[in-house]
Amino acid sequence: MLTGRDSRRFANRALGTRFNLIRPLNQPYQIMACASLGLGFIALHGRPRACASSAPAAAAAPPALGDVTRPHFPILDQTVNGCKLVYLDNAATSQKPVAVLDKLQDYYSVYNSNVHRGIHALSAKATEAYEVARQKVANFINAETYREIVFTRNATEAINLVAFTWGLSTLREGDEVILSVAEHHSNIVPWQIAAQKTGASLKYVTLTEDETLNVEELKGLFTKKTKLVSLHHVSNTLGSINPMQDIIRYAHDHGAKVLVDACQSVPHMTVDVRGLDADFLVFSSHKMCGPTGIGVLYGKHDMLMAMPPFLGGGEMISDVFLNHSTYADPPLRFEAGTPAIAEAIGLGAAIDYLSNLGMDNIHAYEVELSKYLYSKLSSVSGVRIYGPKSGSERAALCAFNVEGIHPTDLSTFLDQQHGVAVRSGHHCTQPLHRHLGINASARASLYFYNTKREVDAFIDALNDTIGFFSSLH
Amino acid sequence: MEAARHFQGSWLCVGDWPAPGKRAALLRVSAAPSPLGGVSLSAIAASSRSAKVFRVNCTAAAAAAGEQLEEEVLPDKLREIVSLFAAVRDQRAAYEQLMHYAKRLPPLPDEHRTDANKVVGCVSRVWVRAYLGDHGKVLYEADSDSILTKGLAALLVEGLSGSRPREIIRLTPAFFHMLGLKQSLTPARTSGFYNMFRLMQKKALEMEMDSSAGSSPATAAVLASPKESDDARSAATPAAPAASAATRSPSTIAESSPPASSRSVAIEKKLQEALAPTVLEVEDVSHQHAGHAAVRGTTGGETHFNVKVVAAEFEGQSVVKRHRRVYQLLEDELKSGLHALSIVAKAPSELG
Repeated sequence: MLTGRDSRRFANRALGTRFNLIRPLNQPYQIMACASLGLGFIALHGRPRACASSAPAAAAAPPALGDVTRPHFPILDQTVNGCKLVYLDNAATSQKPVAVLDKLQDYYSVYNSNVHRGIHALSAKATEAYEVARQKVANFINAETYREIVFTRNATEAINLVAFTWGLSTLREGDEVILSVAEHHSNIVPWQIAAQKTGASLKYVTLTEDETLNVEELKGLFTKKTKLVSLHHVSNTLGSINPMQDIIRYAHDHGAKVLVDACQSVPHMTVDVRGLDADFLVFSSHKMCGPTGIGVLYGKHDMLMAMPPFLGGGEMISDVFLNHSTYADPPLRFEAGTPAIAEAIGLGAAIDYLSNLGMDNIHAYEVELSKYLYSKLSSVSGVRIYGPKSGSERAALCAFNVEGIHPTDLSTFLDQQHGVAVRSGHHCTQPLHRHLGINASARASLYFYNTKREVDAFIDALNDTIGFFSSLH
Repeated sequence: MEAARHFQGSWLCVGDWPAPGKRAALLRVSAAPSPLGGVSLSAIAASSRSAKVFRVNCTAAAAAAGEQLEEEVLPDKLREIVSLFAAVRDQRAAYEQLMHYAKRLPPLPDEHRTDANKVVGCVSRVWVRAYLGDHGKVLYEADSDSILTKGLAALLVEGLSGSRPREIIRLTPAFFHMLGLKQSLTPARTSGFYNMFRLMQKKALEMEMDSSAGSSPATAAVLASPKESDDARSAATPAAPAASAATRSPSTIAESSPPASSRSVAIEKKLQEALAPTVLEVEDVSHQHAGHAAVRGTTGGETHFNVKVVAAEFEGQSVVKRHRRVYQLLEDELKSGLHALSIVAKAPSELG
């Protein structure tokens, strides 16, 4: 005997996921179709569970970016636990458009070959595509030359690269590195290791009452010994956006370099490394519609030239003898071994896709979404959102807690009963959570393919969840 | 086959294998149904340089183990809870059920929210506390900051409290599947539940070891100096030899790690692992020999044991051979102060 949800799920699978059996909603129904498919039994009436996402669509408005781009992302068109998927975990990773998927398929089907080493046709094509991708990245962030773009595995590896090459060769005992309590673990741990090895010390900026970076405090932390400031551009938990241009100018006036963690900014807005005058800047492909396994380290040419190698091996050498080797110039100096060729090309395709939409358009749409999300979420009683109030600009994400409900319980219920995907935990910012006095939080994070309707679905699901957990108290 | 799954991946610690005199090897067991109808166990020596594969055909033993599994005896309360959850069809109702349990669980006082009581590997914070109640039964208390996890903890607390340590230790996690909660819990939650259960078992084991360690020296002291029974508990009792053994033993117990001082459990463990017995009873009767000359100078108590073991391995073996097997397994104990074993070793067919 199958209950409503199970019978729906079964029928959905039998008939293909595109056939959405969830509508019409409020009537019990029989799946007569099962008999005609010769499945041998008939599912019984069940009371269909009301998925928040099944509410009828609002009257047509001018097409929003989310609606325009939705067809490019087939993965979003699926049911999860009997409900339509509402994917709100984009700060963790983004979905990939068909254009990027096709490019990856294309690479492996048509011209896969190792780069930089061969002369034959396939190798030449692969090398060209790979280096063209590098140029695309350079253009995307307005770097001066492609030589300032180092491909890494992800942003974490990029920061480690800087910490273990520039950090270990430059930092001395007593030198200081300024971080903040809101940094992602990837922008804390490599510095802890480097500091331990070199005898340098780490200083952490805290937050203002508005729960944004305390820029005044930051300025006060500078001393003659400050060598580096490594900060997030946009916080993955607070949603705050830091005035990086000002911070970098101040740091340079005090003789310190700056590394910008741009993981949550590059995917969502125009980022100009020369406008910022950043010394280093890192970001990951997978958060900007690109494949996993590839990230970028931008470094000013003279900085990179002075840095010793990171990993040793093929590609990063010039000549190899038995007793010594000479190294290639950057960026290849920092790209040992066969690179993630397909992934780099995929990242190039993602950049093309985003540029086609226009980063300013994406940004403007997300500003709207951000305000909408914040206002709807903050009007749910018992919800506490972290980070600045919506007056100042916030990224389109909200980390929050509901009084009396553990975030993991919340996200479990949202997922299991409504197909809404949010993240719960510490979001790789344990020090920040400790600073805020909490153990964990839930987080909904949007991207340009999300819609206001989805935000509504999330809020409805949240209300149902809160109602459920409160009813038994 | 059930039994194959049961053994698959487990570790077998064998005393003097692969070569006599060498340290115990840890063998990873790989099990598959044997064409003979039992289970074929392969064990690969993990600690020797060349991985040697020892194959053992355990038809009878596996059959016995299989039977044990199919009729795994759950404590009454746990069985009730399992059938209650198994009957729940709707996921929402399952969550409601969990929350009912969570509500019933009394909060855990702050002083028990220690690291020793914290369940490792849980997405939420969970603490479990165990203590001995009347008649040697284990009682549990638990708490969590997440209500679903609290419900899971409450389920275990209600199901396992009031059972004897041995009942709890012998349980396998098989009952998880019968709860039918697997789809409603994330993999992280499921593994958290498993860790909770294991922590409760570990605490039951500790209770067991503490209680058998605690009994012998106290009894020795009481029996040795009956006139001074009131003073027997104080460590400063004057000079009778058994009393000095009693004086020594609390400090011995305090200094040595639990396994060394709780021989009874160590014996049980070794026999359990090596023989997979269907019946195993280990009784510490050291107090009956307290005044015995041989006892003086050894760690307090734990010198004389009655062992009753029924194992398929003994089928067809002479009594002498069986006893030799048990002595062989308990070699370490015998070298370190175990004075005498009184062994009753039978094959399953001989019970009656």
